[in-house]
Parts: sequence; structure tokens; C-alpha cells
Amino acid sequence: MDSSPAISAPESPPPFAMIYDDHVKFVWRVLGRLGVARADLEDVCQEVFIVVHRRLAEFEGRSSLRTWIYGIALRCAADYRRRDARRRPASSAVPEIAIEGSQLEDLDARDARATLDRLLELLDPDKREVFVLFELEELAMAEVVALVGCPLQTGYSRLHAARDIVAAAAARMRAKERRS
Amino acid sequence: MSKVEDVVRWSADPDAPVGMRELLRAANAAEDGPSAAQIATMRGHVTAGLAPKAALLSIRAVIISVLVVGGVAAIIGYALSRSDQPEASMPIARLEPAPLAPIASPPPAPSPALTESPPSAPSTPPPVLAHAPKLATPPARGPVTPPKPAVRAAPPELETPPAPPVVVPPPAPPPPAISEVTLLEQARVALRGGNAARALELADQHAAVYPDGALAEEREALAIEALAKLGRHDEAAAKWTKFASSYPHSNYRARLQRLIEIPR
Repeated sequence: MDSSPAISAPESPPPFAMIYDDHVKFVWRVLGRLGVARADLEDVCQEVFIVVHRRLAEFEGRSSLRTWIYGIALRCAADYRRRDARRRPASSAVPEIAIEGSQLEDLDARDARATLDRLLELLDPDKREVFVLFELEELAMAEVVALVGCPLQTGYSRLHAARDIVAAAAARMRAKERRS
Repeated sequence: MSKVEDVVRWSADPDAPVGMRELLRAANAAEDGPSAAQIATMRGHVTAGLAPKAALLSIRAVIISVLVVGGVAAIIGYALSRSDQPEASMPIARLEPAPLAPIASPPPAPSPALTESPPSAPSTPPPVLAHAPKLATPPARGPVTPPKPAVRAAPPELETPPAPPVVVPPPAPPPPAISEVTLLEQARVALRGGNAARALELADQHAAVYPDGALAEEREALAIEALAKLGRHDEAAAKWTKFASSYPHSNYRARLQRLIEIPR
């Protein structure tokens, strides 16, 4: 009975476990940046990996594994937003942005994240994706547009539009700080 | 007109709007990932729900074992769902208005395949039916608890707005907006539990809510299997034909093909 039945993988070495370990944090982070609520991150993250698992055989290495996973995460986040929007009517009001005391430059990591989240909330999904992938995930614009599925020029204009929105909101925030 | 722009990232651009560079850097430094427990849980769910090979051989065993528990649960679930019907506390209906175009382009690959291969039953903690949360325990215990009292078919996971009774076909006691994973998980459990009709219902529900969902391939495979089990071979075969062309590389092909060719 000690001949443990080889519970080995199906056929090819199953890199899935490794992929999961290497990417789970990153997928989690990206989903959050793309607007998945904290409470739903676990569900959506799981969805991403179910798809990764299933499609792994189709991955042909035309892009990096990470980029490929970005694509899946993007798709799942979009599905999520659809679902979420149905569940809860869009909060039409622009979220009030205010941060306590400190200057934008001096926020600690946590506050920075929270502030950034609020800024991202101002962007519509198209712009948000581009902004997140380019500014935060630091992908090359060519990669971004491939993932998002738009022409390069559109990618740039979304980026600029997003930047304008974010910069304006940040400026308002600063003005507020100064006043207070 | 502008040639390919050479845009510098804010985080690296001294000319970025005041404060943005610092903000982005600080935000990037915030390590705010899943907890170790969450990582483990998700891993368990993903692998448990999907291990492709497990299903092939063990499916019968699983069905049998699940039947015992699942059968009871299904019966109770059915009874409960009936008792819920009248009040229909929440009309799930209108889930599928306009399927919005997915904003993000999916990966190049053809598209999803079904996760039909439910591994072995043990590790999956899946909800049994729409009402799963509460049902799950009683049935296992057997005779003891008469499960009907408390249950009011409260939506398991989220509060549904008191939507006006929408128009929806009566078939399934539709759970409110639940995630794709949960929905298909329920379908899978139903199928394993021998309740192919229920599984099909849930698959249809999934198709209505997430026509192009990330798990569309899973759904289709599951539906094919359910149809085959229900003896609706023509429908199963028709669906299979479509499936085979939509998902030429699906991991479920072999298994589904077997089902189709050897109708029982």
C-alpha cells in the first residue's frame, strides 16, 4: 500500500500550479485596478484561472504568458462589470474625492492605492483599461492596444483622455487640500 | 497624423502633472494582494473544479457517490424551490437585457471549452442548488433535520434589489445575479447528482445571462452532457456539432464525442 498511486498529471507536465503561484497576485492586482470590487476579487480571480487552466493547451507562445493572462483577466473583468452594473445601477455621481490632510506626494502606499482607486473610478472602462495597462502595469502601448483590441492611435487618444481626467481630478484634490 | 507617439509614462516623467509620479509609484508599492488563505482557497476551487482527467474514469463513481447526498439535496431543494415559488422573493429575470459587447478583446484563442470534467467530488464545496447554502448541510446528515422551516430562499450571496417582478420564464427558480462560476458549479453539481434536467436549466440560465461568458465553453459541454443523459440525443448531437466547430481544440472533445457516439 505504500506504492502511492502516482497521482501525476495527465500527460504533459502540468505547469498550471506553477503558473497559478506565479501569477495569482498579479491577476488579483490587475482585477482590482480594473474595477473589480474587493469583495468580488476572489470570485473573479478564480474565474480567470479557470479559463487559464482550460485554455492552457491553446497558449501558443505568440505573446508572453503574462500578456496572455492579461487578456483573460481583462475579459473576465469586463464580464464582471457587466454583471455588476446590472446588479447595481451605476453610481452616476462622480465619487467625491478628498483625501485627508496629506499631500498627494506624501501618501503612504495604502492611501496612495485608495486615492488611485478613486481616480480610476472616474474613467470609463475603455480609458481605464488603457490607463491601467500603460501607466500602472507598464505595458508597451503596442501590447496594450493588442489586448484591448483597438488601433494604436485610439489607444493613445484613450490614454490622453484618461490622463486629462485623472490630472484634473488630482488638481482638484490638491486645491482642496490647500484650502483646508 | 501624429506618428507613433513616444509617450513617457507618468511614473517616469518629470513633467507629469504634479504629484502623479509619486502617486503612481506609491500605489505600485502597495502590495495588496490576496491572503495566503485566499490563494489556497482559489487554487483548490480552480483545480478541483477542473482537473480534466479525473472526470473520465471517475465520473461514474462520482455520480454514484454524489447521488446519495446530491439526491437528497436535490429533492429537498426541489421541495424548497417549490415552496418558494409563490412568494418568489426575487425575480431574477431580467438578467440578460442587452449583452454588452465585451470591452476587452479576449485572447486570440478560439474560445473556451467546457470544464466539464469535474474532478472528484470531495474537495468541491459547491453549492448544491440555487439554495445551496442552507441545503448543503441538512442532507448530509440524513434523517435529522427537517429542512424546510427557516428557508426562505433568501438569495444566497447578494441582496437583490426589490426589482419589480420581471418577465421571465418560469422554469428555473433563478438565483439572482450570481457569478458565472457559481452558476456553472451548480449546474455541474446537479449533473453529477443525477439531475440532468436541473443542470440543463442552469446551463440555459447561464447562456441567457452570459452568452459570451468566459465559461461559455464549459456551459456548452455541460449542456451537451445533460442532454445526452436526458436521452435527448438529437439535441445533444446538434449541439455537439456546433461545439466541435466552435471549439476545435477543446479539452472536452474526446469525452463529449464518446457521449454522443455511445448514447445510453
